[in-house]
Amino acid sequence: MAFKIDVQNLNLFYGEKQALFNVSLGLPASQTTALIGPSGCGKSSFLRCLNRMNDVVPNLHLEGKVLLDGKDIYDPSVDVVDLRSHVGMVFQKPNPFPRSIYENVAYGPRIHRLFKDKSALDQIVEKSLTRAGLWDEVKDRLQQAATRLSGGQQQRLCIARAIAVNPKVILMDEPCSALDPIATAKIEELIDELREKFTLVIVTHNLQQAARISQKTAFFHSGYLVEAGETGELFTTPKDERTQGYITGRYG
Amino acid sequence: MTSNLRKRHRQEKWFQRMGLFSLCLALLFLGIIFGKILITGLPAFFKTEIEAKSAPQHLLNPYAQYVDQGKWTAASDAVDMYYKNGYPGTLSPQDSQSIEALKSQNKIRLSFNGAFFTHSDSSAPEMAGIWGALLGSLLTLLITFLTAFPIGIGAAIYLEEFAPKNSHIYWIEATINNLAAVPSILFGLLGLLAFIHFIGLPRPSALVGGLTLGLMSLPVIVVTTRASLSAVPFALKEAALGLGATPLQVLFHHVIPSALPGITTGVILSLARALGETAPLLMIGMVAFIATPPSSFLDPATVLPVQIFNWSRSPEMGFVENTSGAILVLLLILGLLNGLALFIRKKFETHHGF
Amino acid sequence: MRSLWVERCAKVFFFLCAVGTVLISIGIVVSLLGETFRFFARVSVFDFLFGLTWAPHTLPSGEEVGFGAIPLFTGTLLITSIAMAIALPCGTLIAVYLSEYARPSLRQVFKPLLETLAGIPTLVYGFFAITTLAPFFQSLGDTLYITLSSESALIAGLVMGIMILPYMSSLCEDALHRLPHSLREGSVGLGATASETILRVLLPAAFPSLIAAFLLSLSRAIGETMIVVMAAGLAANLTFNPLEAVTTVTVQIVNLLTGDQEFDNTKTLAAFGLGFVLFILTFFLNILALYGIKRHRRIYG
Repeated sequence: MAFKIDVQNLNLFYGEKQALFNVSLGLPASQTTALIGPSGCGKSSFLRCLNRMNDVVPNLHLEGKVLLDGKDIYDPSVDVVDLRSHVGMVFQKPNPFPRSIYENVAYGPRIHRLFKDKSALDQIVEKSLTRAGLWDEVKDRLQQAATRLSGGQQQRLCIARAIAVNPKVILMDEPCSALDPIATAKIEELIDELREKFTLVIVTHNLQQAARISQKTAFFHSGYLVEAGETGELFTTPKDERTQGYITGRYG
Repeated sequence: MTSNLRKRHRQEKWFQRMGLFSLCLALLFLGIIFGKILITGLPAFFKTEIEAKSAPQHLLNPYAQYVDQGKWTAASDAVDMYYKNGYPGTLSPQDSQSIEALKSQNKIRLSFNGAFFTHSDSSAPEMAGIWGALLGSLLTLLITFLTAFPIGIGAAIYLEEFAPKNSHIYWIEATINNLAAVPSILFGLLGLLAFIHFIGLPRPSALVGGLTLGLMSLPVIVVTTRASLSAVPFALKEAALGLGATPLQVLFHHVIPSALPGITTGVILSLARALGETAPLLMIGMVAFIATPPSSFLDPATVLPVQIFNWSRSPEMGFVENTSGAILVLLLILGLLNGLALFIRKKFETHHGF
Repeated sequence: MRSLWVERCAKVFFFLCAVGTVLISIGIVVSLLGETFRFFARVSVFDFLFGLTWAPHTLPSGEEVGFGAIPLFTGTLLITSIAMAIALPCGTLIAVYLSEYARPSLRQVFKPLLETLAGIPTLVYGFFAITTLAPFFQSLGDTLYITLSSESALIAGLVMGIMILPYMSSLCEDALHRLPHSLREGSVGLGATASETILRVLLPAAFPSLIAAFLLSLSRAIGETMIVVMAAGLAANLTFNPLEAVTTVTVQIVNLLTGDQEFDNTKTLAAFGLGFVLFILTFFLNILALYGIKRHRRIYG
């Protein structure tokens, strides 16, 4: 099975401090990979390396390779702006723009010039909102302000916004941690459907969620990738005792 | 890279360059203004002197004969202008040659012009100094401080710590916020009416000026003090109350000491602003020519910016130099005040380690 | 018991301070209003607000004429427009650059420098205008065969623009800085460049605060006195040509009150009338601006 993203020997430094130690991980195409681990273990830092969101951090230094479809995204010839249209991101707290629902989803296609005329854009918006499971709820009020939606709806809107640019990979940084259980369930359902067309990488601190939604799981601890493997196996028969300790709740 | 991407990156570069360009333009103007004032103003701190008995009487300062100068005698205003700027003015070609001769013989020089700082205003530019204006500014600012500081702090304390949250208080707050943005000239009109017309205080006195500027500074001090008070963490107040302190004790033992750097900074900056204000003081009549420095708060006085304004309207070349020199002094004092405020803010910023 | 009494006294004292501060505002309104009414008893409101000639003098018949303030309003409008035409774009661009592009070390150097510009007394700007800018522009005009008055609106407006610039820039920068960081992340995460994020997301999001910044700067420009007293003209001139000299409301207030005027003089009262107009105008601009900022804060918490 091909890896959509193949991380090889990644070392990440914030100035003098090293945050990731020689991490090598393959993220399979058309599958959901969950990144788990205690707070501060580096899983969010790792996620942000995959779309170079870490670039804005001062004193950042990175060694190793991150291959997207075989091409290193940290190669100097790679255009970061272009990269992020192929690797999208959904954040922990929903962050819709203070504009209409339509404009939020249309933003990505607009700046990347992904459409020919207005009707094509309308179609993209409708398709993205449908895929995000939001279309039926908002189709009559596309011009309303996005900030008027509920928390769960806003997060689905952010997912629709990310889908609208037709990325290859969607990264999600604890997408449900700010939502109530019903909204969380809706999004987990959505993640399962999205797998068909996209590769997903999700950081979560909810172990049950990781077990439910992912096919592959990677366990991080103190900047090291301790163990990675098929989700069922990792949860029932972990190879490392640290993994076992975390999963059984001996430490958080 | 597609052409769309290329276009976007070009727009990005262009946009960033425009921002930097605007910034540099603004700083360029700052540099030009300072540079021009420095160049025209620095000579005001120096006066031209000729070695005693080496030059004819008409090249010397007419007032010099009244003062025993020692080895060097003060030169006349025209000579001063010529020596500093090469501006012949009223000098004849012979005089210019004489001066050039003196230059080669090292019998003419520049020395520090203490008189600029110790004399008051005069109709002769070379005799005019800023002492009267400085004293006037000092007295005026003292009154401003005494007026605005206690009342302003008191009002801020009430609004921030004791006032209930009802609509009356909301209107008081809104009024004070608006007052802080009223043009300064209108305070001059108020001062004219209230202090000179109604109460009948003497016209261009430090007292009236100080009261007027005090009224102007009051709302601003209230606003900045409130900001400092509200920045005090609630946890601090809770801790003190929990130990059984009365609200007044919490206020004076904990809140005010904690907010003090911010309050001090605000007061210093308000006074700096008041020092540079001209318009309201013109309204209350400080435009007059005042040749003797004030000896009390009720004597006719002027302040430094008004002095500068008066000199700027004079056509004589000598006064241009004086004006620039006085501006330099004003800017220096303002710079020191602002620097002090900044220093206080920086020094005490780290104490709030919450 | 004693301490309770002290507490009460202190509270009353502080309350009186607050009331006292409010009394000033009432004082301004009452004083301006009082004198304005006395003024309008001698010169009709219509002649004042809509009159086209400003040349206050008394006719042999004893009638006082020449109090038409329109030329003053247009003069103020012209100079303020030129000033805002400079300060608005430059101020916003500088604010954007400092807030979004400049490295923190650069920002730490440039921001205090800009605040220095803001702290220079306006009188210095006026002096700079008459000693440096006016001769410069006049000789420039001579070489281009354009006649430029030494007290032209262009020069006064230009200098006022430079004066307002740091104020506008500071307000806009605060507005941008207050925006939540997650907004930027969302846009950047979708692959937008910094300029696209600024133009399409940040500036629209900060729009109410930016409008407030504009209104406050405008209010300041309208109320500015020293620059126009020194750099603008004294004679009322009804024109929109920036090359000509015009006079403003604030200049005339100063002009009418200079010299020992008795309080019954119509000219003195006219100054109060002008002051009242100025107060109303700046008051409304400030209210609008502060209301706009409040509404914006409510959206963003």
